[in-house]
Amino acid sequence: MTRLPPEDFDEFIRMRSPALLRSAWLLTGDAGRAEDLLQTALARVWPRWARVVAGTSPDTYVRKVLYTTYLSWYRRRWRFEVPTGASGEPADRSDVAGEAAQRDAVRRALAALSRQQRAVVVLRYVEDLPVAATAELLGCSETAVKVQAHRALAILRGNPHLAAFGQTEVSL
Amino acid sequence: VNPEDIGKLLLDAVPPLAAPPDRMAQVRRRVVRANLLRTSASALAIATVVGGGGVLGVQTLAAVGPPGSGGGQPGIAASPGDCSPGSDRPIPQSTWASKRPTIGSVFYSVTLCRYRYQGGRQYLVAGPVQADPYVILNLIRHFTPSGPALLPPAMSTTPEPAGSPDRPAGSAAGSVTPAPLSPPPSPWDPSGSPWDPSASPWAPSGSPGWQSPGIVTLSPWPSGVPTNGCRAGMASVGTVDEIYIVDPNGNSFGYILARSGCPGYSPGPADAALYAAIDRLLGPPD
Repeated sequence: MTRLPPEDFDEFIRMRSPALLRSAWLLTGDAGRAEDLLQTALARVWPRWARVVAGTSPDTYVRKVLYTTYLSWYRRRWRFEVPTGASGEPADRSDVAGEAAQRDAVRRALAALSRQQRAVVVLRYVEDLPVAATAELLGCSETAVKVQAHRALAILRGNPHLAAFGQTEVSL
Repeated sequence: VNPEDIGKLLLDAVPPLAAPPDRMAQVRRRVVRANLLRTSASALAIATVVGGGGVLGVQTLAAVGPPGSGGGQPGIAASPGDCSPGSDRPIPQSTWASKRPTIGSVFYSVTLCRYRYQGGRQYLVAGPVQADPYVILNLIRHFTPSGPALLPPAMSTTPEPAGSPDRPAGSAAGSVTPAPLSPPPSPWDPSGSPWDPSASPWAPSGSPGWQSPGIVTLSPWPSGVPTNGCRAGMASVGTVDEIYIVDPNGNSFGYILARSGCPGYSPGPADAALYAAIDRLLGPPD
């Protein structure tokens, strides 16, 4: 029988889920898959929660589970990701054409990256982790992180969707 | 390239993501599902309860192929309720193992077949007999001299010594004294009429996806293993009982219990109980 979660786990989910879900979306490019990824990671953490909180940083641990789940998951399930032409997100009343275009451009640009590259990009440039922390979290060397980040930036720079968008919004 | 710009661009691109009403409940469901999967795997592992130290004649658990895959192959029964006619089956070698099958109520159906190996061929001499697992379980308990602690539901995993106070090594299996049997609490009919799974409390409500039992691969007899005086090459397998089990998920497993004619051989009490239970269903071996 599954025990009830400790209150701090419940609290942790409430507090950290939005940020983790954002990262999951950037990794998967889809709201449904992002939620699936997040719940899978949380379900893996739950049985170990007592040990996790006894450690130094529950947030780091959960994030690590999220990313390793993503990497192993994609090996099994979504080997050939193809970005759709239109955004799959539900329409948001506050969304404007520019935001939709930006979202679509980013989605397509990220889809051009390998899963490792995408994970590195999100960790390094969205979550703002240093190279060493990124390497530790992904279980690879710092050199590998630097190489992946370099290649990812080159791909993003050459991506026509993002480049066209970036000319008007940001300079890559 | 300005990394800050990239980070901002990516973050800005994330759409408003609505959280499910109760994410915690959904996570809980995933944990429960994962636990169930683990429990199912453990149940199958427990099904091969360790015991029967010093037992010759043996027991190997093997998963079999997908539904319908075995019907056309030699030596594989056409359905779980059937026994292979036998002539094409390989003769099993005498083997020794510490594992002994345990038939628990987690299984829906048990089919028993008995073969006699003679002149390089096998002959079906008894079966198929389909029995409610509950019946076999009760029979095993009934024949267990030292009480049900040796067998399910306790499902002891302690290896049984070759000789025990209740049944010293070297005593014959036939010396287990059966007490009067109470009527089996199941649709099983001792006269041999077909078992009706629909009348059984253990029967699935729908088709469990019957599968054909496959050929069971016997493990090799480790050299030097003491088996009450029998050693590799000495034993001659005469009677082989095969037990096919279908679990609630429709997976079939096969056990082989080869009874050796090795002089001086005697099974441990747990195996003697299992053999006695099988003999109650299939009749005494030749």
